[in-house]
Order: sequence, then C-alpha cells, then structure tokens
Amino acid sequence: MTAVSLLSSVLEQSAPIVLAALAAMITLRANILNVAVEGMMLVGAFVAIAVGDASGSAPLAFVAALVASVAMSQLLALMTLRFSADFIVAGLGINLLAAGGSLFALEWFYRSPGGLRPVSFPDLWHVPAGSLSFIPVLGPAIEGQSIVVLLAFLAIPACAVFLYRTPTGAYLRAAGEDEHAARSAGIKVGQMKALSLAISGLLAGLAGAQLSMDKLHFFLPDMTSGRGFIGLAATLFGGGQPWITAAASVLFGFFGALGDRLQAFAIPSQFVLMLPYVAAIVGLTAARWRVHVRNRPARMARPKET
Amino acid sequence: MKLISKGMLGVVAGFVGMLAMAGTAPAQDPFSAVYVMSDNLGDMGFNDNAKTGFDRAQKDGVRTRLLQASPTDPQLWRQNLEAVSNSGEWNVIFTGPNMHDNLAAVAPQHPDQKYVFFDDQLDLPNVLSVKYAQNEGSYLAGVLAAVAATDKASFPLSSGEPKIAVVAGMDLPVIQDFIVGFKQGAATVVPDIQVQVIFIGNFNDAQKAYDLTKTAIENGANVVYNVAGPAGLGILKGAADANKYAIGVDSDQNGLHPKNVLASMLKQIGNSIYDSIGQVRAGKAEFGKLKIYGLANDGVGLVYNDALVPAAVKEKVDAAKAKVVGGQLKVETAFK
Repeated sequence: MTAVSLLSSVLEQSAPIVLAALAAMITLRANILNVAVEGMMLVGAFVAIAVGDASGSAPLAFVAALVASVAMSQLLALMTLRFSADFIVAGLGINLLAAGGSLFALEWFYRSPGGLRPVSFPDLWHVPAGSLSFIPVLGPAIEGQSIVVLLAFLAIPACAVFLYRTPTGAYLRAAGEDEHAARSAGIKVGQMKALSLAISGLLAGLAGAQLSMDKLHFFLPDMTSGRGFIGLAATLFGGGQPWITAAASVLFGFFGALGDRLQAFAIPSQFVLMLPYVAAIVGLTAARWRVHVRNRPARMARPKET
Repeated sequence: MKLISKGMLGVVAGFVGMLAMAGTAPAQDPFSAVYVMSDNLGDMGFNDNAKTGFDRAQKDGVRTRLLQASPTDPQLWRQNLEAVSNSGEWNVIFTGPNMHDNLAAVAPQHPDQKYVFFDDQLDLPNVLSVKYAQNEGSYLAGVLAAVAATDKASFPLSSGEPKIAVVAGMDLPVIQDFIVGFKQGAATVVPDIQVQVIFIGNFNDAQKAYDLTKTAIENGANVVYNVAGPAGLGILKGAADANKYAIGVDSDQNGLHPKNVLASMLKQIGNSIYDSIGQVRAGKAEFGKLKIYGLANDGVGLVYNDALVPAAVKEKVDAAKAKVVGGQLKVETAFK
C-alpha cells in the first residue's frame, strides 16, 4: 500500500516538473535557454481557474489555460525573434509580467490579490478508481490521477518522436545546432524557433493547469514555487535528450515525494526540504562531468556535439 | 501677456488653495491610521483578519488606509514605510510581519511618529509591539484535535487512533510557538498521542501543502492543523479530499470545507488592531512596551464549526481554556 501511495505521489509530483522540463528542452533544441517556463506555467494556472470560475466548464478552462500560455510564449517569440531581445532578459521579463499580471488581474477583477478561490469548480477528468486494478502496483498508482498526468507522460515519447522522427523536428534541431547552415539549407530558422516556443508554451500551460485544476481548484500568487526552474535544471541535466530529461524530472519528483514521507520520521525538515535541490546540484554536476569527459582532447577528432 | 496671465492664474490658484486648506484643515482632521503591509489582502487569513480591525475603526470615523504590496517585493515594503513616515500625515502607522528590520531602520529617524508593530516585537520608544499568544490558542486546537481523533462516536470520520498532524509553513520561531502549544494541548487529552510535524518550506506552495497533508493522513492522522498562511488552503483541501478533519487558522475557515474543518484558531488580529487604535487615540497606549493578546483578553481563540463539534466537546475545550485563563495551567512557548 505504501509503495502504491509513494508511486502515485511520485507520478503526481513529477507531472508538472516533467512538463516544465520538456517545455525547456524543446526550446533548448532550438538553441533557446527558456527561463520563462515558470511564468508561462503561472499564466496557465491563473487562466484555468479564472475561466473555470466564469464558465463552469473544465474542458473550456483547460483549453483556455493552454491558449493563454501559448500566447505568452508567442509574446516572448515576438520580443526575441522579431525585436532581437535577449532570450534570458526577455524570459525573465515574461516571468515578472506573469507574476505581476496575475496579481493585477486578481486585484482588478476579483478585488482579492491574495488568491482566487471559486466556491465550486468543475473537476478535470481523473482515471476512475478500480479501472486499472488488474495491473499490480502501477495500476492503483495511476488510478485517481488527472488526465494531465497521463498527458505529461505521453508527452515524453511524443517529444522524442517529434524531434527525431519527423522532418519538422529535424529542421528544428538543425536551426538550433547551426543557425547559418540551417538557413543556407532553406530552413526558416525564425519560424522553427517560434514553433519551439509555441510547443514550450503548450507544455507549460499543461503544467500550470495541472497545478491549479487537478486537486487544489484555486489560484495563489506564486503557486508555481520554482517548478519551472526545477524543470529547466532537469533539462540541463538531461542535455536536451527527451528521455534523460524526463528521467531527471521524475528523479526530482521522487525526491520530493520521498521527502514528504521522511518528514514524518523526525528527520529535520530543513534537511528533507533540501533534498530535491541537492539532487539538482548533484545531477547538474554529473551532467557537466559527462560533457567534460566526452569532450576530452583525445576525442577532439570526432564531430562536435552540442 | 500670456505669460503674465498664466502667472496671475497661478497666484490666484495658490491663494484659493491656501484659503481652502485654512478653511478645512481643523474640521477635516480625524484620527488617522495607515497599515504598511508586506502582503496582499484576500488570503482569507491573517491579512483579511487585520483588515476587519481597520474597517471597524473606519466606522468610528478614523481615516484608514491599507498599503498592500507583493510578498515577493521587499523593496516596496520599505518604500511604503518610508513614504508614510516622511509624509507625517498619519497619527499612527501600523506594520506587521516581515517588517522587523525595516521598522528598526525607519522608526528611529522619526522619533515623533507613533508606530504599532504587530505580530512581532521591537524595543523602540515610539513603537508599541503587539504579540499574540498563538501557543495558547493552539493549545485549545490541540485539545480539540486529540478529542476529535479519539472520540469516534462524535467524530465519525476519525479512525479512533490517537494520531494527529500539524502542517506548517516554515520552521520559524512564531510557527514553533503554534506547534509547541498544539502538542501540549493534545498531550493533556491523550498523553502518548502521535503528532506528526511537517513543514512545507514556504507559505505559497499550496500543491506541496496538499501532498504533505495527504501523506500525513495516509500515515494515520485524523486531524490536521493548518499553520501555513496562504498555502494552508491546500491543507484544508487535502483534508477534505481525504475526508478527514482539519483545523483552520488566522481567520474563520470553517465555511471553506464545512464537512471537514472542525474549527479555526484565530489570532484576533482585527480585534487587537481596533483595540490599539482606540488606545492610541485615547493616549493610553504604552509605546516602547510589548502588549500580548492571549486567551484572557480574547486576542486568540477557537471558533467552532457548530455542525461538527458537539456541545459536550466544546465544554471540554472551554474547561481547558478556563484553566489557562485562570492561571492554573501555563502553556509552553517557543519564545524563551
């Protein structure tokens, strides 16, 4: 039973991080370090609750969250690709805009800047209880998860297939690897980068919707609490590879869920709360070490990888 | 010509303005209080509770103003505090959590300005510190939680096992004060009660609060005490989804999940603010001192969800309260 509950908790805690990580990964492959995932998530989370409150429809709220988040990503694309703003500066700007904008909207429309908590809120689709009990351990752990958790784990193979098995994915990677070569090969680099940002916005919107719509049914300022940046760390850890990135995200989710359980056993809370971040630092160190080993002079003759 | 007429206009306008000021200043000089916040309203908790005090004072004719600020923008808190201090148009300036260092820097520069500093303490001659005996209120919450966990007949959602939990924001002294009182209260009912103490690590991450609450309940907790500010909404939701009991904090949260929230432990911040405004106005406030609002002067208290808590249980808790008020029992504190 505890194994099931731990696994279920890992899945649930990993889902937003997996989505955030994939959102950062897809742009990293187009050579964009996307620090705006956090802000796009926050916008998704806010719009999901605002639209769900106004319309009473979960699907509508869900779609609205995705649309809003993609719109934010295209704002970032406009600033960086059209007006040549720096990606990191503009990305941080998006984060500030999301944090301040959601607060402003709370104050302006709801007169309640502390948060938005509708009295009733439509439920997302969850895997019905008992429907998967024929699978040992994993089945019961998946029961009760929201559709977004399932989509998060489906997004991993989807991203892998998109990047490595479709022409558009190949163009996108080419645009990231060497912009000038890609351009001379007739690839529309700007479009590819904008596309990668749009996909990033879509994934971040899913992550935001998961946070606010799955269990909580309310929005609080700053409720993303750095998950976008944990996702970015997972991407750097995974070196932009979908599967390794996802594995790193699940590792962070695992340490989070494990930490929740360890706290009950009188282990100092400071130590437990530190775990996911220690995991991130160790992971990034390992990732750098791998790159360092791979790029040793003896292997310099091989074609350079990024 | 144009220049002259403009200048003339200016002089006239200035003169009219002076007249207006001279004419209205004495009549329009009510007592005024401003609250420099380090957070926003709408948390259904601490801040909204504070607002009720200012609203009551406003009805008495006090000019009040609440300066909200984003909890992630400490620069703005300081700017607001300096701005109202420099303006000199407020009889008393209130400020609260997170503002210790800012007030310590600003208050000495304005020795004639009166400040009320609540939920914290600062020893300056022009500052009245107001603190709450959250340990005493939490003591009652602990008594109620222990009774609710073990009395299966009155509280059908409980398993009857003596297991309860407190999910808290951060490991800070004021939060520890809640926890110490809660544990002591629970132990008076069931001496060997198991109390899980769990920290979220911040006061915003409602999802984490939700997960932690679920975990605590999986570990057997029947009642979860919310000590987590805004993120506490996640605790209450978690307890409601797991169909166990919760105890709210800071403002009346009983209505949020009426089938699961047994009671709310209130720091009567609004009452204390209203009371302090009255005292400052009457010139009775003792600046430079610390005033504690506890069970005895209704600074903290438990508000029951009447549908869930039977009268017999209320009597038990009220008996515990009488002991504390009467001085037979001293509630432990994290501040020593």
